[in-house]
Amino acid sequence: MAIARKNNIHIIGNPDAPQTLVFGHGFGIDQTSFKEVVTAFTDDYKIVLYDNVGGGKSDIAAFSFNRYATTDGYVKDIADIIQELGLTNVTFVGHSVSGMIGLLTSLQYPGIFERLIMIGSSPRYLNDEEQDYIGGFNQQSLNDLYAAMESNYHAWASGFSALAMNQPQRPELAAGFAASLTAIRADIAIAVARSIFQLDHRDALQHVKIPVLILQTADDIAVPGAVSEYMEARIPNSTRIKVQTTGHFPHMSAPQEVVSAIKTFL
Amino acid sequence: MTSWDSKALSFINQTSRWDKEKHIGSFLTFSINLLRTLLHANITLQIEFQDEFTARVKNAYPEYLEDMVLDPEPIKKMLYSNAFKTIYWPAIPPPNHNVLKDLLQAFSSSVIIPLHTEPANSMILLGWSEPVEMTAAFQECIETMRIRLKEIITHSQQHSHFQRVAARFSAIMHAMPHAIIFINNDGYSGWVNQPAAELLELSGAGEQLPAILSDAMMQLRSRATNAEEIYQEAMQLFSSPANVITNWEWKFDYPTEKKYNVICMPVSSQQVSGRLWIFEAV
Repeated sequence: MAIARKNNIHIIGNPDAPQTLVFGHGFGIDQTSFKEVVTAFTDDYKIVLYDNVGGGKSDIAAFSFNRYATTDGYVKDIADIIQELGLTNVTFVGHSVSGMIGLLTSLQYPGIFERLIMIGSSPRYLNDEEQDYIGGFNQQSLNDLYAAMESNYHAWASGFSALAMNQPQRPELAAGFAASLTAIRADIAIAVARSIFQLDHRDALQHVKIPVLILQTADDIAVPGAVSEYMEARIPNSTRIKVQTTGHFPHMSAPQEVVSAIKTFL
Repeated sequence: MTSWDSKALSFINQTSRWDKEKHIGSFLTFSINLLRTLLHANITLQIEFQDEFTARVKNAYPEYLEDMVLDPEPIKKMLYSNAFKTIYWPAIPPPNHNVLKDLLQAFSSSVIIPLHTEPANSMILLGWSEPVEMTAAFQECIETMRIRLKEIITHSQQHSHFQRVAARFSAIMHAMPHAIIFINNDGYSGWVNQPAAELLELSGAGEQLPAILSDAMMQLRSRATNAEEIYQEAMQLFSSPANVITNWEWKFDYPTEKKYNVICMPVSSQQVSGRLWIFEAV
């Protein structure tokens, strides 16, 4: 199946289980970032893991700067995965931008998911002073970020990984993230970062029709706590749980807490 | 005149006025919206075939479909198997025979208008919630609108293509350390990059009238310490328009001591004829 190679799809867990969990990773990492979480669900769920095109072990030849200029290209990829694999009764677990991609997929393809879990996701990273919205970044800080990525991508990856992981007691986590970031072709990473940091899907939140769990961490450089509160207030039928860890990657830094939160929701 | 004739005429009239009176950036959006209003469609959108992996929805109504990505291959296959002619679906085919099923859920009728345009092919999709009788007069109306739509999309795509090209070349030229001055032979246009604007003490970079550039060049020459030598070289240079000069020294004492290696060469292509000056500080 071409899509299996394109997105490096792996299906694990219980193949006869009536329910499926699909895990979507965030920017700069891949499906292996969920390894500590998925083991808790292998008995009772069919589990689908994949890499976003451009990252992990996906087919780099399938990357298109046009298709992935916005999150819509990834939305189509998820819809293709679900349809090609004939998955039903699906709960989508999306970290960071994949949480928002999952949300948009549920809107463009009604009925595709039963539930949605968003880990450290944001509908907009840019502050919007006119609407009193705190996204965490102003345009100047994002421009500086793009400039740093463009001038020396490897140096940027090393610095950014430590800030985003925010686990000073466990430097191996930041080192792993840095290695994963630097494995991505720099031009692709920069284009994807731009499309993520400039997105604005705040208007989509109110239209969500499925139950949503929002997982929030503390001291997340990419997603301030105010963003999770904003999403909870606007997504009908949403629940927010604070995970007791710092940084943008709770599924890597505190997997058992994430597992407990997901189980409560499921 | 049938009511379909009158709708086709109205489309042509209104889109003809719009491209004269309004900005090109919103011309296509306006035209597709007008199509929806005139034909009482419930869904209208453009699908742009951007590359082998990307067919992107543009100018969509309902708006939530905007930017949706589709796989181009099955759609292109359908268009080419219909010889790139307009496809009329008085009834929507079943989902397993409909490559546009993700867009046409809960619709009864549809028209698909392929448009062969450069640099990217497009198609326009129209859909109706209630069944539409697609009579010969209706189809004639659509075909008339199709011709105008092709002009509109070509116009809009070329405009945005040229805007991108112009922006890219401007950025490159302004980033060059040399002062670059181009004076068009048409007498109406000239162009300078940022270092050239500073050298010539102009108010800004970019498009400049040749008269202003010539005046500024003359003043620059008069400030040179070897102005007489420059003048003699210039006389020889301009005696034959095909002449090229390189390693031409222009020296200045004021405001700081500076020397430039100057290149002056004709630029001649099908669309452009003029002279390019490059000042390299040494």
